[in-house]
Amino acid sequence: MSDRTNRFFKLLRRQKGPQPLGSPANFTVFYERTHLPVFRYLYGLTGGPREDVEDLTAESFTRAWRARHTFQGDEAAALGWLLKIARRLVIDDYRRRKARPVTEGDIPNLHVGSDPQPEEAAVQGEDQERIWSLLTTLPDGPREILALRYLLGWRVNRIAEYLEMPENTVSVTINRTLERLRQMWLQEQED
Amino acid sequence: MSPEPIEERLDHLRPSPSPRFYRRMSRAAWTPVAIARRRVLLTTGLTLMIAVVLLAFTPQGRAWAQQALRFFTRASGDTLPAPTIPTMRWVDQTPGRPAPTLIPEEPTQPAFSADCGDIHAPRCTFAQIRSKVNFKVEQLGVIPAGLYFIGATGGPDAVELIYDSADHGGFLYLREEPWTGSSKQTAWQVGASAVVESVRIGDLSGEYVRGTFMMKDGDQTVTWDAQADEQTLHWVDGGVFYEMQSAGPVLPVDRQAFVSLAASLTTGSVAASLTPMPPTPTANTFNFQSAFPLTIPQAEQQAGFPVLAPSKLPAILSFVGARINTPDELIPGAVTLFYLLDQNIQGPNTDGLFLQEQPVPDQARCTWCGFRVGDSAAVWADTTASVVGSGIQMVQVGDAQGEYVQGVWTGRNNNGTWAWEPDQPVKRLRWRANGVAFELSYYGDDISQADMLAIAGSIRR
Repeated sequence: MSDRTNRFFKLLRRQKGPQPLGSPANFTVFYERTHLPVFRYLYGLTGGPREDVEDLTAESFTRAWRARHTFQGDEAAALGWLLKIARRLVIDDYRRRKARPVTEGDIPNLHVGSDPQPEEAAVQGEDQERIWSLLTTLPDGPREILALRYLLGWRVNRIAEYLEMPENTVSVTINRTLERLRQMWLQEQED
Repeated sequence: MSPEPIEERLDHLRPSPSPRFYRRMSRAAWTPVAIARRRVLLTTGLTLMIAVVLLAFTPQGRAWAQQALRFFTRASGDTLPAPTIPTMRWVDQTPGRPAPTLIPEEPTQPAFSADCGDIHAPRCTFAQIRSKVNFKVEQLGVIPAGLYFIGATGGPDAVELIYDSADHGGFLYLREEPWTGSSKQTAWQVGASAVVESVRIGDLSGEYVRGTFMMKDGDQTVTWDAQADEQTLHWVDGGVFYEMQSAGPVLPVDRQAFVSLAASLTTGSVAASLTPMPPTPTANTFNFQSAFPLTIPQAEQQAGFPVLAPSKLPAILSFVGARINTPDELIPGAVTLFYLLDQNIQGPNTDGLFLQEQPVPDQARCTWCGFRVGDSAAVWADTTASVVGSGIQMVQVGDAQGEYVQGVWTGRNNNGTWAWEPDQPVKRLRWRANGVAFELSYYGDDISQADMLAIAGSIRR
């Protein structure tokens, strides 16, 4: 092989992705398993709109891909690491934005767990729009905890570990925030 | 209303991304699309090697050089014989007392390598490389967004400037050397059907082609692919021959935009911001000692069972260390040995071979001793990465029966289901022998199925 061919050949081969924690195959699997939790977490943090959340999700994975060799741990830890990247993105890029009213276009593609009848589905859709609207009025901290608890389905101990706060604090926050949501819900009904 | 209905309503919130998001992520840097692109690039290098050999040593090759194209050589067809892959060199090991087997190749280094590094890590500035040669050297006057000037290297007869993207998803290679008109300079071979376009670069004329020869695993031939997003432009200016080549999504796959880059070449300083590129993770920056901190004796002591290791390895692999899998991993308690790929093979990288092993009594049920074919739904319930889409091969590993599979599950379908990609070079071999279950895995093309079987067959204490 000529010098020229040899050098160019090596340059081309450098394009291959690295391992062990960051091979494309491993990262693909990781992405497939975590993109929905990340998307939902970001939705919970920001309240939408969906296109912005999609951009944030994509950027989170891109940053994780670039920094994948700095991470060590299992998949559960990797998800926590990725969510922290996502949260930093929100803080960096979105926290400065003032909360704005939720519009119809902001309401995400909401999937319910069962297959309700049309009328029931319509009622559920309205309820979820209201819930989503109420969530966006919450302070950042409680909203994040509710997102982890209900959008990602995490247990209290995992939330506490992720947020580095006592489990009791997480439980109290969840209960107080639920009560606050309940009051807001009732208030809206009365209005 | 009690709080429970609120909780139920929260439980029902399931926002999902739109199809736009999935379309976007299907082109992300880690996807099969990106991987396929890398294969295209690899094949181009191999094809160039063929071209040089054919042109130098065959009458037909010399005849090709006489064709009308000024800077390229048109092949007689769109399919050519694939180059011969060099034979793997193997090195004996001492199992249980592993010593580094890495025997670096002696790559041909550019003449300026002492000062300017090699093509993996060129470090000369534009001014430095200019001062080293006796011909005109130019650099891009406009650097596309997402590209960074990495550095330059070369020798007295030719210089090479490298522009790369942060995720290595695309790069631009610029070579400049005094024009001789020799067949060596016009040996870049294109397919018979390739569309080589004459273009104007300012007042100069050049030739542009999009495409490359591609080779699939196991093929004996390479085939011209005019749709590959690789672009090459050749021209001569002031007695200097320029070769500009790009690949990857960072650069515009558009002839005019690409030619405009060539037209921007300048001997002067570049107005564009030259922000340093984020550092590339390499074997030097990844902390292998932390990830695989144990010697084999230490791993044996912690795991509580004898650890077996290959007694023969390709010389391109070097033992790094061992670790005990954590309870959260697919095979908890197993010992994992890691062998790093020679850094001279494809530049700084963290690729390597993994060997996982764990005692499993011969009569005991073993959930990870083989593979089974399943569908996307089965993948979600698979806790040992045993479900594959197809292609399980029964193989012989010494006296034991093993199972080999190549491929990986990906989200190609963009609909939330898994798609099995059998062409991806994710290779795994599982077998069970003498009360121990093993998995040998490798990602990449440098280690073949036959190599993995040979490594597996050499494993002993």
